[in-house]
Amino acid sequence: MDKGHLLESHVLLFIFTGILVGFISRWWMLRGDVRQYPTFPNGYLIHLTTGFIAAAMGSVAYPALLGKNYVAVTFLALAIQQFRDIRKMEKDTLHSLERDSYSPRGESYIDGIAKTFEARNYIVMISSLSVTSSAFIIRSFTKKNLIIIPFAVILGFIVTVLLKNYTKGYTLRDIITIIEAPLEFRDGNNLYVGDIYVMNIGLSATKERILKNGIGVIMKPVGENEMVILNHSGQRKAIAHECSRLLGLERYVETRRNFDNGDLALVIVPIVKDISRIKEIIYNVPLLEINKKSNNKNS
Amino acid sequence: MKESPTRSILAIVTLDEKLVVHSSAPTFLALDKKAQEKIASELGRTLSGNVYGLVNGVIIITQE
Repeated sequence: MDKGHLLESHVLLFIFTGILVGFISRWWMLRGDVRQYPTFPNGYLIHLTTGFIAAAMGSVAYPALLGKNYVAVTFLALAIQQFRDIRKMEKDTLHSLERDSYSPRGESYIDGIAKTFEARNYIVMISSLSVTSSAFIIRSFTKKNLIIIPFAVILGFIVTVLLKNYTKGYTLRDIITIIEAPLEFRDGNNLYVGDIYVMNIGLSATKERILKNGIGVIMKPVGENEMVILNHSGQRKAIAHECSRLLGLERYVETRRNFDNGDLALVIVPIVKDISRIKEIIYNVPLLEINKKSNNKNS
Repeated sequence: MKESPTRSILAIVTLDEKLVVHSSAPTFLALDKKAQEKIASELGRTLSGNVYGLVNGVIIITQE
């Protein structure tokens, strides 16, 4: 491809298609991430904009190579730096929110969320790159855009879905079962969820409030590896955070492990008292990436 | 390694002064159980601390 040929209509069309597929992919992945993401409109705008830029970079990479414009490809390195900044930005934002939160997310959870946002920009870039490159390859067989574009678009979305599934994490649903357990005070001040000691409460009024409005559940890991995961401090913080964030927190939220069998007890006094929703929230808490590395259930 | 922060006792509220020996924290003597809880509650709120009850009936207020 010689200089000036970038203005050819089919090249522009392929680049535009790649950008569009990448942008739609980013939007789709952002919509699937509501639970982990602070749902601010400005946050959405930031990630859609960076997703658009990632799609544009992925789309122009192959035409730039065809045009022997190797310098343009070095911009991909610059893009990676930018996406690392996105991870840092996401971390800083979530860290700043920790101070206002009754039950903090914890470092491990924040790290996982930030990595996910960085990784999704790479997914967008790769899917856009696959759209444009496949369009050029198909064009060597046929010149009909009505055939080239649908094939390239479908391939781009397939790449997105495959990469999203590859990076998709497990949730606690995969490793635990949950049972509701009664709350009771023993020895006057010690609060138990079932047979697991959770905390000490000194005041009668607080005890009454906990017994009246509190909910206790016990999470049972399905195996030994899962027991290790559930014992991770960051994982427990993530559980407490999600419960208190989604149901509101009237008073305490606390977790405590049974050392004998690895069960994890949770007591919470939520604003919305709904045991079925608490179970659903806990089941959907993501398995932190830091845990997956050392205790992957498939390993 | 998981951090294991220790918390200081900010105040003690007891019904029996003999149960608290050489306390470095301020110790309050209450007349009855109701007064003990009320004092502990007020101290807990004022000091932004946590209120815990011991098995011997002594209430302690610790750092949050």
